[in-house]
Amino acid sequence: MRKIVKNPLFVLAAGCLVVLGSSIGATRAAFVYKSAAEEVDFHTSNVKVALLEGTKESDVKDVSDEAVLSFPGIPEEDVKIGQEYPEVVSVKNTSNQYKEYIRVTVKKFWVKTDEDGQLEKDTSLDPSLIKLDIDKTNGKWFEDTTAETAEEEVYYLPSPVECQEVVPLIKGVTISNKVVTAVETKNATDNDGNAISGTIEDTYIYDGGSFYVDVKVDAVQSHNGAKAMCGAWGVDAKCDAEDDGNIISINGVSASN
Amino acid sequence: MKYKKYLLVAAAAVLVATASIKPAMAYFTDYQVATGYRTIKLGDSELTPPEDSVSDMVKTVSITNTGDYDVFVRVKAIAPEGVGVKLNKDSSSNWVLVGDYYYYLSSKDSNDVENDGLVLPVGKSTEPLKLDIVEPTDKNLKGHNFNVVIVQEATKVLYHQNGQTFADWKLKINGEVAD
Repeated sequence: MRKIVKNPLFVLAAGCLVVLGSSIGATRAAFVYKSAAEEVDFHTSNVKVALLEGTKESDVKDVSDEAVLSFPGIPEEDVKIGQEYPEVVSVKNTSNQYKEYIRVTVKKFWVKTDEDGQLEKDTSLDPSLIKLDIDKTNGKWFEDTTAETAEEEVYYLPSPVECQEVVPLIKGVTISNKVVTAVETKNATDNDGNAISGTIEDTYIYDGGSFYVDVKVDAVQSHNGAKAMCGAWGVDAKCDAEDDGNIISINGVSASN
Repeated sequence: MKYKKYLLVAAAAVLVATASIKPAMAYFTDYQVATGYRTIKLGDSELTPPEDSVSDMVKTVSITNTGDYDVFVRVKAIAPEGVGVKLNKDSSSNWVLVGDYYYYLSSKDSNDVENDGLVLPVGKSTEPLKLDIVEPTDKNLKGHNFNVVIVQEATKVLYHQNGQTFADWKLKINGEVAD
């Protein structure tokens, strides 16, 4: 008997048994009958955030559940080139208890429909012709320019957002007039596909293209803010206080613009 | 041999301990994503051949927009040497001669062809443009047949950010336009 106990394999097996046994627990419970009223809803408050969309700041609706931007201010047909359409995208701290730091990642690019009717990203078209009017005035959003690409921009709010506070981010969308200057010149063809000699045809490269906007909002706790941002978002943040402080810089980019 | 046993027991203990840690060390976070897209259409602008007729040496021109979107239009009359072309007094006041072209403008007193153009909506026709043709007075040219050629041009209606329309007649293919 002593010999078996000393055997390392036996010790390992015993260890494994302890590990496995710890995960069984509930399945061995006896049948218990109880009514729903006896249950206690017991949970901690969470950091929560929501995305809102509308045509003006006063009529924004929560679109977090559908996760779809419907561009209510832009007509379905006949988007006028060069005109700024109202498109308000706001963020809201929906927590009941906690302030939070908020950042937003905005992606914009062009998509075209392929033969199967699926949307496909078209990287040959210039994302900078989709102009999003970022509200930098009252919200004081500042951009982390080290993370900027032609397609993607990252904006931070320098102070923690209070519970239930709404901060507008995007005010409008404009498609630049430059899209009408990009054309492709081809030999013209008749209805049967035969080339018509001596005739060329210009087609708009952006015709039938769709501008695609992807907005992601991130929130993180404001307690121990710099470390929380580093841990959750992987950015080098400097704050003027450990808890609920204002952001001084992100990745070396000053928050005061 | 004894330390080996302790090592195994320690390993088992670490295994049990780590299995129960996971979520407790994360920070409180949340995120939401929303995406959307809208398609733009840039069809060709098309005009009908100008409906022009000549009677009593007055040429009448009207243009219809048969394309997919709103345009601004202008007309040029090319006449042989010695033949004069003048705006007839009965012509619609929307047609204004600026440079070599007759522009379709919202005000007859304007010569701002960029900002005061009158938008020709899809399917609509312009007011008639009437041009007096003045026969040549020179002996050598008098009595000969001649043609007056009407050239019509259209440009897509562009918009300033505030929604105000404007025309860019210098808009060249692959060229740059001011935003």
